Amino acid sequence: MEARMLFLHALSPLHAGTGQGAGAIDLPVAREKATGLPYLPGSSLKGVLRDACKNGETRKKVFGPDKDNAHEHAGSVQFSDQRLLLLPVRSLKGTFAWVTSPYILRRCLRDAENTIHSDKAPEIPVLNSVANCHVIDAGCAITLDDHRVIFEDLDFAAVLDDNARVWAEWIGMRIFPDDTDWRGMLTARFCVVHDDVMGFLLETATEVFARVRLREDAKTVENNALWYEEALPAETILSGLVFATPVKAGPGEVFNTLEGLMGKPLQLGGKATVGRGLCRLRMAGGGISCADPQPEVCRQDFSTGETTGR
Amino acid sequence: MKQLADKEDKDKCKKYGSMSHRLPVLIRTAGLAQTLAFVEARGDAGGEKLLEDIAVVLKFKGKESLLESSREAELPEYMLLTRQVLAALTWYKRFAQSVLGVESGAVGEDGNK
Amino acid sequence: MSSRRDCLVNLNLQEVSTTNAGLWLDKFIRNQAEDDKKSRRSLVDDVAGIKEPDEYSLWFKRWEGTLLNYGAQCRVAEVLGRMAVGLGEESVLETSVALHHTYGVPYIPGSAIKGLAASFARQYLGDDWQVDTPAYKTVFGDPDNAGYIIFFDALPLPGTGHLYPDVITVHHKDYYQKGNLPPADWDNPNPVPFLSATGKYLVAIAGPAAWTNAVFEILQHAFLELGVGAKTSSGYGRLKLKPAPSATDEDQKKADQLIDQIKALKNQEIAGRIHAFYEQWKSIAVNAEQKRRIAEAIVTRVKEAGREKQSKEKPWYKDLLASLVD
Repeated sequence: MEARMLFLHALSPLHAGTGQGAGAIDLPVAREKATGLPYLPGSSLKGVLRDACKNGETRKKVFGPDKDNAHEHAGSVQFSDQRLLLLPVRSLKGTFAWVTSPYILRRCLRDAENTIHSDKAPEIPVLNSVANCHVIDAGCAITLDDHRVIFEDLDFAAVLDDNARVWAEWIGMRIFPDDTDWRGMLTARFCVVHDDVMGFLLETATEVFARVRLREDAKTVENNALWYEEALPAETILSGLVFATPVKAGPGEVFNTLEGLMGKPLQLGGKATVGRGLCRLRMAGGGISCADPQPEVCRQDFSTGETTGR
Repeated sequence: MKQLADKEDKDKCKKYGSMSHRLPVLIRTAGLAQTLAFVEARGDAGGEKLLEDIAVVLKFKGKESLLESSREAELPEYMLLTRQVLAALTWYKRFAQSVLGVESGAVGEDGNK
Repeated sequence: MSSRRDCLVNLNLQEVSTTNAGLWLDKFIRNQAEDDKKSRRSLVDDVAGIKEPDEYSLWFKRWEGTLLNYGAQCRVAEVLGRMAVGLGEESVLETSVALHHTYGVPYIPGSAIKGLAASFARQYLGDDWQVDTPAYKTVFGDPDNAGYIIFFDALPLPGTGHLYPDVITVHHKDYYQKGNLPPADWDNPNPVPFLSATGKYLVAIAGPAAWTNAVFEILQHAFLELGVGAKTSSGYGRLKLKPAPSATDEDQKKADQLIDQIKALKNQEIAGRIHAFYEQWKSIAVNAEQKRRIAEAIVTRVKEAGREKQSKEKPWYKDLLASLVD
């Protein structure tokens, strides 16, 4: 079995939903029970990629047979849940910040260690106070002149941290490998807050939409036709793992197929018809090529010649 | 006289109920301090009563001291207070639905929320 | 007295010119007391003066590219006069405006565009477009099934989306709000400040081509005749949909995108991934000139990466070369 890291960049609000909610929001996004961390289920990602794969033969080998023939053999690819890595939060300076916390970074590291491509792992920032916000050492776009950082109506003391930059660049290389402008934008807005603050932001700083059904003639709201939907805002970044288990297709074919499918944007999560969930997906390390020191994989790549990547 | 009192009571209940539906979303949008100030500034009896009740449940002397705390609290206390008010409101929201019979998005007879 | 948290009282917009307009609007009013009309007015003025973030054009480029790559059809709609979208959202101002959560620029939510098109279809397009008809269900769905058409949010072209301070004047507040007194000449007019928007917006629709064309046809009329958002009876929310870019431009855009991706491949990625681009080249629907450009880009990239020797005998590479000969 071989694993790679996946990164998902939401370009429009992403509604990975649970259905009914009990609190203020009628349709909240799905969260892990134990941690409250929003996630997109691996099964839903797999379903969308499967649908995007138009070559029937490849689809069967990589994703497994259709429902009716599911007993024949398993698919050769599995996805973990894609969990929140960076939440864009409205910032008094710099428009918005990409916010994460030590706990989230630790889980990201654990994922990275499971993959063959893990390079030297950055260190996890240590936060001494709930009221601190760790930012990059120079060129930060979100720190005010008085060394405060303000998200929504919450005030933090900015703490300069070398590790923040290392992390921002580590993540940037994986999400925007070909784009220095975007990597710069990410680094300037990257910050780490205390886990408790992250929890609070995840509860209160996601995007909420009021949806209404209007009466036909008058522009007034029908009784009870007002509901609130939650979504992870545009620029949210999730991460997780993808595993290739050689059942019918080897890792080379699996990863090259995925790489091809990820060349196009995907629609993930609910409420597609009003434009939610337009996402780009990146796999760390890309497709498998001959430059990789994996002879058996290379052979596979050539033997499948005509169908690779489709 | 009695009729008038009934009508005023009914109106107050309705405002109380609809405000308990609006507050959780308002708190997300405007933040706790601004939201409480908003209810106070509107000055309708239903909203004031709701503030008073929340203050008492959270062991404040009254709504003035709840408002004061929301402005003066440092970050950790502010986050805690916000969570407590939101938690209290899930209860008031259910109360509004079941006892007062006010649903979310219900528009008052006068066309105002 | 301020209604902000004490630690935020002294902040003013001069220090934080790169703020998020939506954040300032939602959370930074100075004072909400009933007798303090100035605070509301100046909040609205503040927000109208916040300039578009520098990074927005970078974002928009990615947004438009992603929509096209997804297969959405995009057309520009320009606001004639003013537009008030999201006026009724929850806010301590009691008026609001739809602003992009992350970038704070004005925009038209996809749900508003979908709602407008649906409403226009039901009201003006006759029996074929009533709620239970196949056409209506295909485009807009019904309670059990989603429609086949995606209505994306319409974001402003960089540099075009502006907000303006505006006023609704309620002349008989007691009559409207309390309803116990008749409207009278001696009522005080009550000006309520709000924000309206102008600009050119990128309307993006995805789905089967025949249907997206029909939807744009509907929208063209609906934008002009019904208007989007609030206060449409006072002439707000009218937009003019620009003609679709010519097919040649579209082809060029598609080709440019693919070529950008091909150029971005790293040398060690060529072996594993170039074939996928050949497949895309084979299936892409563009004119001959653009097809040739893509083929050239692939061949050039293979040569640059020093993989010409390994590829020379491959049928796909021969196919590409053959296409470049004539």
